[in-house]
Amino acid sequence: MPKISLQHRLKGATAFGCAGLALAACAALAVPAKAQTAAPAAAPVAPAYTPVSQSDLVGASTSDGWLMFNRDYAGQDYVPFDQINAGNVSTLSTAWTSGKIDIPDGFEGTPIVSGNYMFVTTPKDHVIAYNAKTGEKLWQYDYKIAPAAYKTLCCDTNNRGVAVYGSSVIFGTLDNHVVALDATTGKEQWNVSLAEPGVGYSITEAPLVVNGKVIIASGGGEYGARGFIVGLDATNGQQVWKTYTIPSPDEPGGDTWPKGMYQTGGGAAWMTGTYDADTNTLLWGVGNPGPWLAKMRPGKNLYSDSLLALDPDTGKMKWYYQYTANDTWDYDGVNTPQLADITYEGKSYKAVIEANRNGYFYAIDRTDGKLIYAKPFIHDTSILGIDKTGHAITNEELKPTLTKSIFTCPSFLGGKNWWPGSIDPETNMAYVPTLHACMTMVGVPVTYSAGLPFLGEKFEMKDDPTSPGQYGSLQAIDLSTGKKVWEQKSSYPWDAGTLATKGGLVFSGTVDGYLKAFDAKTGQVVWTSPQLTSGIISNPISYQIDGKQYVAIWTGWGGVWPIWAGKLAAPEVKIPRGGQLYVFALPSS
Amino acid sequence: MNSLKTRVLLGAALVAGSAAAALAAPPALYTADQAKAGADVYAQNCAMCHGADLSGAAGPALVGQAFANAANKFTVGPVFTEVVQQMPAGQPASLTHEQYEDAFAYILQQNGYPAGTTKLDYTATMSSKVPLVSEKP
Ligand code: HEC
Repeated sequence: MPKISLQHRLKGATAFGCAGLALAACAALAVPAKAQTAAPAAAPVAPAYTPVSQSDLVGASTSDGWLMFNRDYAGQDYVPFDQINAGNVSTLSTAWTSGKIDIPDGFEGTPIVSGNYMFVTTPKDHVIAYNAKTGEKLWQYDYKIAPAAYKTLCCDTNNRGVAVYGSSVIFGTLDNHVVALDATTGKEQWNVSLAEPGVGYSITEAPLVVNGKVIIASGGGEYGARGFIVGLDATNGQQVWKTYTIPSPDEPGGDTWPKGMYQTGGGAAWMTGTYDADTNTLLWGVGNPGPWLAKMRPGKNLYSDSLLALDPDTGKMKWYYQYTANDTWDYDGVNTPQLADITYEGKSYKAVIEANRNGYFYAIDRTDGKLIYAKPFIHDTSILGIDKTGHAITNEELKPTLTKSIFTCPSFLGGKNWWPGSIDPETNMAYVPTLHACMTMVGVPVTYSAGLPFLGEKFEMKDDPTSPGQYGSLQAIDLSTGKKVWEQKSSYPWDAGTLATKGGLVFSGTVDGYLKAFDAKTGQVVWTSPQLTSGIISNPISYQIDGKQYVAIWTGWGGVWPIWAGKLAAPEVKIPRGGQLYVFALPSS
Repeated sequence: MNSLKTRVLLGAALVAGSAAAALAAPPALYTADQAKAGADVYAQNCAMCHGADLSGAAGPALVGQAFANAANKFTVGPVFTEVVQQMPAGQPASLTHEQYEDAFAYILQQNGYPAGTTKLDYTATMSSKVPLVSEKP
């Protein structure tokens, strides 16, 4: 049984955040080996901080830091650093760690590195700043979550990270606040509320800052919460625009819903989007429609399971592409839309790439939202192919009703869940963390009740008959064909993001607690870390300081799999809980 | 005349008052035996996600105002239905009807609902309109 009683949700909320256990743990342990010998009372010397400008963000792909959730606006999770490479990766060793942080929930955060500062988030919305070079802890901010928020969390108490802009560190909370902190002190600059807690909404994603606006959205698709994306003024948090992902009847797309159902239509945009600076276009994915049972809402149910192209200054829609119409399988369209310039069948495209929950790997023209190609990357029975208009053909036979139980693949967790994949411009490949599982599903009666799940389906994960017992793989997909080049299979779900580097390496973590490096061209494992304190469900990052390259990753098992995978998650029950940040580098010569 | 009017009004007020009192006291919805058996069902099938003391972990709290307060306007039916349809999360409907009845009896007991002589019944409880408001802080 997972050991999760230590610091359970309510205590975390009513006590002063991690003040009880975790703060003590962090204060005592979250320092590097070197700093531990320093006088304990000495306040850390804050390194100088250079404010982050819009042009810094536009140039993030060449920065030595890691300035936003997916590293750059294109969302490639690729670093142009080659100090660590296939020739020397075997000597990679720990530069510093955070010490164990005693929160028994899933650590899904991506650290953000700006100059010498690293800003991380933990489950339950704690923010910590470290000296990215030495590991010295500079400050910690413990957000106090309204207890009601815990009512409407489907999938753990995670926080996926911060955004940096000016001298601010900005993040969202489980009770729907957006908070800006001073980067050097951790003092609150502003704090605004986007929605009441406990009725469905909750924020877990990292914000994205574009043109001085903080772009962020909330979760809540399992509770009938009507999704929205907002743009806030980065200087004070004031709302500049708000765009609902589910249109009202008088808006375009409003006629794709039965009367009144848009109000509980879900469509949570719960993962950080990307941005095309050339055309000033924000790209943001939208999640599943509510309730899950599609028979209750005939129609396409726009803009659920869609990719939205928005003007970041006004929130106005430029185009949309719906991956799965009238979805009944929980195939959210929120996986990172990654910008890449590709060639397909002899033609060049400015594309956006997305490995979708529905099991298809998409390349879409990012100038107009037209499909370039979509190919299955797992065993898929829900989607039968692509029609002449360039949209998925859904298998109507495999849609459950109140009296019909179905078996289909992929499961409600998809062929790929939220973990950011990476795109390597040198190999022309996408590295995709993949899930292999199917599910049974049947309709059950449901009426909307604010604060209770709004599903209308009963569902259970099952083995994929074509690969029983193999729940995960890491795949490399050729961007010019949409076809698999190599695959590393695992009995565990592949539950972590990937990082590609100019050193010819792909980094990713495993559920049993190993960070691994793969040869980007062949997929061969070229380095395996010692076993870390817990399983990995986060995204590795890399940065450079004073000419030295670092690779950082959170361990901390939890998240959606152990809650919802049922019997398939039995092997993971013994994985120890608690988080720890590890930073690796080559040993100094 | 005057005194009669006063008495009628007073009587009406008393009736209204006692009706309110009757509403405020939570009704008996299960038997003590069910709640006793439910403690075991809960410990084996629910505690790993909702906490041994129901105060929440990977799943939300199932006791106190964080679970069911007056503002939520919850009734017993939809919450019981959620349990029998979805719980334990990931292995829905994997318990017997009796186990679900017992587990829910235990949750009601922990939230201050009194035991009575009539058993909590699976089918009837799914459509119960009795307000669900915890007596616990
Ligand atoms: C594997 C984890 C897990 C197990 C085991 C589990 N639950 Fe849950 N439960 C959850 C989660 C997560 C939710 C949040 C609702 C959702 O998203 O469906 C929940 C929601 C609920 C709710 C609704 C609470 C509210 O305030 O909305 C009730 C009641 C409940 N569970 C009861 C039970 C009972 C009784 C059992 C044992 C028979 C059980 N659960 C076992 C994870 C679990």
